[in-house]
Amino acid sequence: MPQMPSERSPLTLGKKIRFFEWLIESGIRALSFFSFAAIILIFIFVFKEASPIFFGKSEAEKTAAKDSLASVINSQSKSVPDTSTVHEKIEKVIKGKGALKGTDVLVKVDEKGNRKKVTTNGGKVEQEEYDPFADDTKPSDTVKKAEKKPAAIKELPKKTPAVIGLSAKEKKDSIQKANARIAQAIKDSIERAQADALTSAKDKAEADSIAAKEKRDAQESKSGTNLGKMLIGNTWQPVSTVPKFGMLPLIIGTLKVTLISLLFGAPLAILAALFTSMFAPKWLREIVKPVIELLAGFPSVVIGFFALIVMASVFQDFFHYEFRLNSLVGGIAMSFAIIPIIYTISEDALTAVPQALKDASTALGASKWQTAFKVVLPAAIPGVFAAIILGFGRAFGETMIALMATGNAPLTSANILEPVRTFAATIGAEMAEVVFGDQHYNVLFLIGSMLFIFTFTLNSVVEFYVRKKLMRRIQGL
Amino acid sequence: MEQAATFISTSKGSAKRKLYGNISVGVSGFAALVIVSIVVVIITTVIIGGYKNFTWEFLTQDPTEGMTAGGIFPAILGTVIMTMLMSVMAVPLGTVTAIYLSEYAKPDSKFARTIRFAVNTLASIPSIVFGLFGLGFFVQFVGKGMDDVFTPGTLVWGQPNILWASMTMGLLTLPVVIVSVEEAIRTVPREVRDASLALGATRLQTIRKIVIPGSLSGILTGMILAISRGAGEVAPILFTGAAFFLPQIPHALTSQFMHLGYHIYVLSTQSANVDKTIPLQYTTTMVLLLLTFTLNISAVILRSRLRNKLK
Amino acid sequence: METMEIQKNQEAGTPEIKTVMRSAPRSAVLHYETKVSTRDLNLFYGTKQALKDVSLDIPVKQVTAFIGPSGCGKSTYLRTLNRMNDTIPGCTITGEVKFDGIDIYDPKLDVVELRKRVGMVFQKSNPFPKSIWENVAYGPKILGEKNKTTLNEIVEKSLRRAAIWEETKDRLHHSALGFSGGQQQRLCIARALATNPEVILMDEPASALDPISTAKIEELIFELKKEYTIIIVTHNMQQAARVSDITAFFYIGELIEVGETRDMFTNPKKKQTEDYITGRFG
Repeated sequence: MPQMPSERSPLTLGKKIRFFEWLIESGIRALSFFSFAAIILIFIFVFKEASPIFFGKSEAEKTAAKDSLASVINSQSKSVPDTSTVHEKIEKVIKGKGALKGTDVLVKVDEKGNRKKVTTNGGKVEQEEYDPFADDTKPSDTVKKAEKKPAAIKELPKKTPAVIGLSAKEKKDSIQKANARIAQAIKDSIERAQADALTSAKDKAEADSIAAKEKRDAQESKSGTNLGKMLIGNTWQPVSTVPKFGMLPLIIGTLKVTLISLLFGAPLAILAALFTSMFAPKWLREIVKPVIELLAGFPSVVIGFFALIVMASVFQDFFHYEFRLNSLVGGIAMSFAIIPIIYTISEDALTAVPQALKDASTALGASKWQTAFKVVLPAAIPGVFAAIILGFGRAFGETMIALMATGNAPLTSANILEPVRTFAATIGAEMAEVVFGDQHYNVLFLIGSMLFIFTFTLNSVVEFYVRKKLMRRIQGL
Repeated sequence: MEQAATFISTSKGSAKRKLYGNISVGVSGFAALVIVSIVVVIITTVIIGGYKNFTWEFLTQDPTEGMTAGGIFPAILGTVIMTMLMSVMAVPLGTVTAIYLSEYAKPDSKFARTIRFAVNTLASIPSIVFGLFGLGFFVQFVGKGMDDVFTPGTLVWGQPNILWASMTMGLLTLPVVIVSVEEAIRTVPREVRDASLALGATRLQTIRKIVIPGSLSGILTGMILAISRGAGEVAPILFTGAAFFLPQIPHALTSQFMHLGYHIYVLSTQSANVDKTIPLQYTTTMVLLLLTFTLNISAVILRSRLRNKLK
Repeated sequence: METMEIQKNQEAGTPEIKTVMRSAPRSAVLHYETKVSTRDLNLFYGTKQALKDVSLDIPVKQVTAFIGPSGCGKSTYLRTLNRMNDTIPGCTITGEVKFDGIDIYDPKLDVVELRKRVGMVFQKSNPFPKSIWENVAYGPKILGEKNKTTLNEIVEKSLRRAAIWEETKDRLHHSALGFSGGQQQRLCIARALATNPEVILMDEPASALDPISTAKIEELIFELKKEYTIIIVTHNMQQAARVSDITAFFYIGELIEVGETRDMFTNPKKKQTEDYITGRFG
């Protein structure tokens, strides 16, 4: 039985020591601060990696770059086709990671880097001229400029090859031979890209070839102050004798895709939100809402796959345009990813409008649609605006859909029926074959931090401006 | 005032109003219909394209004949292992952080607001940026650093592997877990907490016996949704550990792994023979969709079950 | 035990009771032993002052009612007595609150020990989303009681004391949320009784209830005062008149007047009190 108050010892000063409690609470604190640290770390790190673009590089970083280059090259030192003989060809295949099937655009460039001609197979994937998996690579396809710094190549340490996932033993296995060949082919483009670099590594005399000299000169001329100018150029050719990191095509590409996705997705999503929050009977809402929210659960690679395999062909058959994958297909596919975001946030904002407000409008004799468009929608406008902004941010940074469905050609064109390449897709396509610590690496990190800053800004706008305004509107009314 | 005037309308205006009403309902309903049909079309296309290959063998066998035949077992296993590793890291950390943020940190302090803003921002950062971070930080910085210290001269940790991929993905889902768990915790009314404290419970006892049981359904739902997000994302693992083809399943933290989403991506964009593998791609997509839907739907069921239980 | 005797005396003959004076020295309280006393209590939410120089002695085993218009600080004051204001960020307190002569805002005080002795019933009934049994057993369990039989006894006794045993005995393992508002509130009282506190704070316990439930709660308070010191906040003056022995009138953070309930309602000494009681504001 509980003690009677009188039986209990009177209240005294002195804290009880609860050791386990203290221990667990300290644990909670420590873990939380660990995760806070991780979160802050991401913010700092991405910017740090991009910073050499602006501040130059330290010696330590340069060494690190060499080391990593060495390891990358070593890991691919097997079965690299010798393509060092075809330097003089000035043809370049612009592609995604390796050569993205179905996203191929052949860009011929002259020595100054100007684009001469753009061709693409414009149709079915099997018509491609460029097949990275063919056993005998056509010379024209394999022409690649070595993108690595000669300085680094010279100091190749002899390390054990580390072909990931593919040991020599496996290769001997006759059953797996075919598979091995393909896995190898995946790395083909990287290998080819580094082909002459490797040759130089094997033979130092060759490393001093004219091409290498050119590269070095080009590299030097590009350092420091020219970078700013370089970044606003209109050619994106990170892997050529003279790497060009003009971001104009990427900006145009990203904007094209994002705007198309917004123009297509936002009205649909907002109208659907109006429908389910205002007009739809309850049973219909119970069906429509979960289905749209289900779309949010689609992995973006699934949407990308659908766009690439199904939508692109259907669109092409229907509209008869030249390029199978283009910013229109990419943009509409992208809208599938942002529709659930815009829908959910708008719907929340619309249902947050107080019932009293709707009742007041109805009591004045307004019909349902008048209430919806003249009372509810204006009251929820900041929320809808927030929804569009967040959708915009998502489309801006979405990678897989852009990588798979936009064609991935960094073109400077206003035509929405031409292939484009977005910022996010650029990172996704090129990061895997980049040399750690070199200029290309830094530029990709710069793009990453731009994406970061951009979404950060959008989020701040929503957080500090729109939400406050929304609250004021809803509460103030 | 103008609006008020138009509300009092003549019969002619009434007809017009009715028309507008029908149009607005029709247009918005049509928009909803379009979205719903997009969902339906994607699902049916994937199912029609994929059901023929959806067999037990497909799920349990390795790919054969240069990925143009056989199953996707390594990809399923890789996805599951990666997701589990990711959850082991992100879920407890995120939950504890959310508990700290909602129960310990002063809600209006600058610190809590900054962290909350950072978490929200991080939740909306493009996933590819996480991939960049994973490559630059985990692989290049931590991994290389470990190699330099422990095994100078050889590459053990300094290359993409399943651990770094899971950690990258864990960071991606961390804010998702934090946000959803915090939201769930906030559904426990203040009064109930006060009641517990007033009965002489300590803060930790209140959290353990009142707050967590009260928000358990929300916490679990949030976790499952975060896991499903992690299982479906591809961008962060593009260069932190996913491999196109591996002859063996991951056997150590340093191995690379196959992943369903990445498998779809490479098969559809980079395989030697895209046409030949299209049925496989469909089925793989179907499996991935099935996986994420199962997670999503179980989250929904769990939530409603726990709600009913409390009633 | 002394106090029990006083209690009995009180009930036997109606003793002559002098008013408990505001800011009065302890010796001035003639017939009551002070349970909780405050001196010059100031409370701030951020920079906003919610309580201003409140000095008050609360007698043991009596019902003390706080009345006043909403926002006058009476609930805030109540919450300082078991340090529930600790959970509100930006809340600072100066002055002195003594429970049995111990300063409860002393940094060395274990707030859990205090709250064991000071139960609280909130304005909105707030049962845990658990069964009746678990709700009532929660407090004793927290305090370390593990024996199931003892817990069962405590649950029954508490529910009986809260006059809700008959209604709940067959549904002890049903969720508390399935009961009516009045039952829930009595359950909350039972829950507060289960830890056997010395003081029970009630923050407008009947404000959200229908008249019948309110009457039941008032009856209960009348019963409980035999064993517990009860402090009740109410905005209902009839309620204060019905249930309390001492009434304190708060207005904009200040304690305006305190005294014997009968005196207060028949012969208020301050103009503001009179205005409030006669319904001129509030």
